[in-house]
Amino acid sequence: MTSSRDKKTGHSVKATSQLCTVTRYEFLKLLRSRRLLGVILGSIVLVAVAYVLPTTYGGPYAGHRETRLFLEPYSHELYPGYSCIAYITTEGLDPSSIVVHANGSLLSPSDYFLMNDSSGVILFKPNLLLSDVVADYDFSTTPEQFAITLLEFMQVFIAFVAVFLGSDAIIREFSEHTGFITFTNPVRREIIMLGKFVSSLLVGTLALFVYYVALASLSYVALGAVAEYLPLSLWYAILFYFLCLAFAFLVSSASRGIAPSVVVTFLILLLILPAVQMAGEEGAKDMWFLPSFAAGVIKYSLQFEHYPQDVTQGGQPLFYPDLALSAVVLTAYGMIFLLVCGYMFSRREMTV
Amino acid sequence: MAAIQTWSLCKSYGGRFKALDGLSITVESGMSVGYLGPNGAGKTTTIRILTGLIKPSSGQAMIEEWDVAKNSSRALSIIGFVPEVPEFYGVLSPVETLSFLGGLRGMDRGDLSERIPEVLGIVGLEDKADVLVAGFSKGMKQRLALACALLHRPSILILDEPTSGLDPRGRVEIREILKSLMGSDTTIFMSSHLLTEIQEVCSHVAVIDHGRLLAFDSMSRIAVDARSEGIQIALWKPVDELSIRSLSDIDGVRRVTKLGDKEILILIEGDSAQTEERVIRHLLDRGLGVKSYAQNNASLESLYMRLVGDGEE
Repeated sequence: MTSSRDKKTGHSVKATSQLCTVTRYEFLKLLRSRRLLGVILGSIVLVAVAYVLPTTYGGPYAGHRETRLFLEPYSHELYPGYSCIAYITTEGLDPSSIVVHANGSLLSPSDYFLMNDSSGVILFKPNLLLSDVVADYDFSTTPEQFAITLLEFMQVFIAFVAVFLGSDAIIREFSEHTGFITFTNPVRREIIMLGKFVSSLLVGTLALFVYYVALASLSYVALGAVAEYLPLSLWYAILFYFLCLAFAFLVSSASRGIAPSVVVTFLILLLILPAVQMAGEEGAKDMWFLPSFAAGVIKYSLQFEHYPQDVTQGGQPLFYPDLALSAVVLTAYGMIFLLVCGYMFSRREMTV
Repeated sequence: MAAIQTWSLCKSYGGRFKALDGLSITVESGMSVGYLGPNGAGKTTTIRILTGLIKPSSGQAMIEEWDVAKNSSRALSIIGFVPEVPEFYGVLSPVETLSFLGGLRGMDRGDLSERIPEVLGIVGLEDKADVLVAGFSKGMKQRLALACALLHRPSILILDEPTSGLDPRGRVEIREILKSLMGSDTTIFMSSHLLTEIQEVCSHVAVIDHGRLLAFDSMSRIAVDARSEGIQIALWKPVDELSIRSLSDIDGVRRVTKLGDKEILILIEGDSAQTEERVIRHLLDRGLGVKSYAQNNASLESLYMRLVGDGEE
């Protein structure tokens, strides 16, 4: 009994040490092959593009703006005495900075009323329907909105990183014959797979971390503030990356060649899953079980305190992924993919 | 205890092509066995089963007391393996490759720092120790594979055509390294289709064709076989194992090999005329009939050719 326990303990220690060895050298391979550098550069370029694009197309994150208002007639018992209404649609509007001119003359603040501090809805007492009304105001995007804008392509980026780091991880051992040297050592294939997975997970996580740090830095520079729940969003991004990487490994373990593995992983993660999600949304279905839908929490988690709730707009239900459920969905898929990958890899014969 | 043992080992691909057909062989510790056969004979399949790279369709392969299919980790911890076409991670150097493999085998840093220069010295790669493998020639990779196989001081060394594709100089160098291992306690099991290589390096030779073992003996006994008179006999009726055994018991018959259902090869020593007469009579008595009868003297090469027929596929 004692000896069997000793044997068991000895074996488990050895497996841990083998896992560390595989992880260390896989990390070194990713470093030397410049894949680590590639994903980090990719994340920096993407965050820079996501930051620059809105401003390039005339949408700065903060500043002063002059907007010509389009007035409509207004009459409601809640606000008697007001004759017309206008909307300022700029996000992050600073209500205290609004100054209104009608036909070039400054309008007295007593002539208009800002209905809601954050909505930019203005009610006017005098009838200005035929006047040229211009509003001057300061605006500043909220850190949350800023982060959401810069995370617009995050799902695609994560899928790219997973394809880049994972889709050839297993198949390469067979197609390039390196398995003849590696697999003939007293190490279980599952340990080799896990070591490769951990190193790819670390490299991808590092790239995501760089992305979020860059995002936070830009947010601080542009707005002087950073979204409070950015770490939560990063955590969900890592979970989604975990799932995508596990899927890439699974395809890699079942594939006959590197190119088919890359193509299949790419197609499923970037085309088929989003297409299924769109079809489900068209059919007014809650797609909580779909990885790409669950990954929506990467953006929505930034609004943790005012998390969007499922609503019906124009008779069409609009669903938002639940934070806890999405974490379970992303983790569960990742674990299942990894288990199946380990099983397939351990049974695959080196017949090339 | 046998170093390598297989029982009725079979391997089919796609349920049709039989790469191994009931192969049984026992290699005792300390032997250096040349595993000889034409292309497609089943040499590589045997070696891949022994190294846990593929699983047998039926039968059993053992490395010492461990069944390779059931206890591959235990079995693989005993062997060192040199594949036919060794490939490495191009972004690692030989030292890193050896450290990686040593780490997988649980060797500690102290042991590795001592052993790595030693094995790189054995294979003559000391001056390339820190160069990335990506730029290595086939010969250098073959040497590095040998270094990897020797790293953990294995008691069994399995080599799959270790000199295939090498230039003459590379072949000689690899052979010299292997010869230097002879006489140590290491068991060598080396596949090849080069007779001269086997003769030079090995103490024993096993001949395989169509997944079946045709002969397995010491090099000296095989050499006697080679010098023996050989008679190839075609029969009218299929020959069974009992008839083979009874033929083997005839005085002067050294070995009887079944070449096909109705074809046998008999090696004769001593007074060949009398022995041949006894063999013919025996076959007629058993009702097998003699369709044709051919006789020739054999060299090791022609013995091999007789055993494998014109088996090159």
